[in-house]
Amino acid sequence: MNKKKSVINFFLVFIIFLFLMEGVFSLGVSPSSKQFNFQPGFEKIINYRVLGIDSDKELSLYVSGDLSKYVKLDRDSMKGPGEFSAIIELPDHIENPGPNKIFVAIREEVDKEISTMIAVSVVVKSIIVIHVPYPGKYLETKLISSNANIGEPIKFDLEVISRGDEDLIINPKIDIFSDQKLLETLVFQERDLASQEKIKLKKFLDTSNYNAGEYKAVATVNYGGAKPSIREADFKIGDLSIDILNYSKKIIIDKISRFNLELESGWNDPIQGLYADVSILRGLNELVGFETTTTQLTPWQKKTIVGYFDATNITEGFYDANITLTYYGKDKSRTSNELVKIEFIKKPFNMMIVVYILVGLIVLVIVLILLRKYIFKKKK
Amino acid sequence: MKSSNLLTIVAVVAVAFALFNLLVTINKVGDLNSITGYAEFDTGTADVEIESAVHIRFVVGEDALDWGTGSVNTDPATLDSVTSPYNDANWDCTPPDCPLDVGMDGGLELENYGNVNVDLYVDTTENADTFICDDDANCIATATHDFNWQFEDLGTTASCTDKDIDDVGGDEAFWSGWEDVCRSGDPCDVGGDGLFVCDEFLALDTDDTIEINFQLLVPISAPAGQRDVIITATAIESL
Repeated sequence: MNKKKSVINFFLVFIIFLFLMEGVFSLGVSPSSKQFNFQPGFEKIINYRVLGIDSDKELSLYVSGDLSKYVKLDRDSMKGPGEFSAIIELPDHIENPGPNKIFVAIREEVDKEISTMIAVSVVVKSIIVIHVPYPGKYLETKLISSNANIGEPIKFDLEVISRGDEDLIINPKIDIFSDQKLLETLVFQERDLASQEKIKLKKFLDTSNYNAGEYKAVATVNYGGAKPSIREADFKIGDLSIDILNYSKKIIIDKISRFNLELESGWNDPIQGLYADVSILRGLNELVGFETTTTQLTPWQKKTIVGYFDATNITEGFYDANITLTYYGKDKSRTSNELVKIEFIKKPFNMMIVVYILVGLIVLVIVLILLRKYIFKKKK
Repeated sequence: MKSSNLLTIVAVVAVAFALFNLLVTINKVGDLNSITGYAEFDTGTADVEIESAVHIRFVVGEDALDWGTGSVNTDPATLDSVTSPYNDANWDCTPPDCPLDVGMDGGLELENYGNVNVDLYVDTTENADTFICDDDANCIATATHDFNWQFEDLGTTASCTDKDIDDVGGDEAFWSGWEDVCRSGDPCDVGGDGLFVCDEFLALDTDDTIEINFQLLVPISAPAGQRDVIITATAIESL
């Protein structure tokens, strides 16, 4: 027996069977975060609730992060769900301006008495953010917009926070753009904003004179800083309509064929009872007609619906197809039509089969030549 | 005074009093919105604040990461939890001990069970050198061995909205292919929490689950015996 075969036949048995504990391994903590403005000598007690854990699970508790030395926990371990507290005692001065993060962590301890090769463990961390004021004027802003249908108001929420150690006077506005063209400006009144103060402002946009489409809101807040604070938010105004994004452009004849239709809702509410009636035409005459499945769409959703039809009596070529969509939104119904082109083709010849056959023949010829050469040589 | 006159006076006073009472009542009824329980608007508001909670959980199926029993016949044998039959031809097993026979059921599912989006980190206590080769110098130096993972998004749209952690471009490689696991303390470990896997792991009902799959390359020279590894997931609210 040659050496190679003996190596292959030699087994070094490595038995691998992985034990993994079955079940749900869960851990949660509430609250998930807290944020405070720094004040010299700031003190606070935060009560935490540990949840989603079995009553016999051991947990370890610890603090980490930028200012962790100023936070103490009332205990460093617990068993099962329950409560604990974090006591924050900040000094009179903190060097680093901006958000300083402290993490209050709860770790699930793995039961080392249970024999298992793969174990899982969960750690959850709650964040405490201490906002230390920046020197001078510093503003943070956040803009949130909603979508709506034509005629419904669009609500803008503008959150403004002074993060510097100076008081501010702010002048916010929101510009509405469509394709970079300014359509309208919503102006807020001038306001005082004390250091570390946060306010939430709102404005409504009347969309009755707007068309359906996508828009951009740009919030600009002048506060006396080097540059104004600018935030953008995109929003959509919808109407009860559905766009055909894509469809099956090539269909194979001589079989029952599948027709895909990719659609997108342009409506900010659910659309019900949506289906397509497809009519494939030869001239003005219908060659074959079929309906797709019925479905619904959530606001702005894209979805593909499917229909099947018999393409056995259709010859190759280009045909017109009339797609009629029927759907309902709130208490309105709508239909829409679109004429498209579909190409019917024969099942394409698979060139790879020819390639495989040719390669196989070449290999066979080479093997035969080699065999003949060695047999002939041996005989000699 | 005659009794009839007295009666008349009393009657007039009574009627006057009743009229006065009627006027007061009509006045009060007209000011309906001052009556308790009258709703001036047809909508009411109630203020309630739901406390935020960061909460994740591993859902481990009965046959998750169960490759059954077998041995390496050719260097190296590859086992994974993604592609059936979950082992290659270099892995020797006999039914009913092969992965398909024992019902191998994929990797570890991890769900965001809380009500806030989270940043997700994952690490292990072992890497390929320690888990496969058991720190054996000969195995490490000479044998092809590996302990890899890959992450799969099980959401309807996407459970993890930002898989491009370093913002260089494109999703991180472990979302589409096999990468070395990240052992705690290795350079991949971010601040002791492990590999930063997802920036914004969602808490939506339809988009809140990912799967962690594993691949093992086991050489013939791998020392026999049991090894243990702990997979730890860490979640912190995305602020």
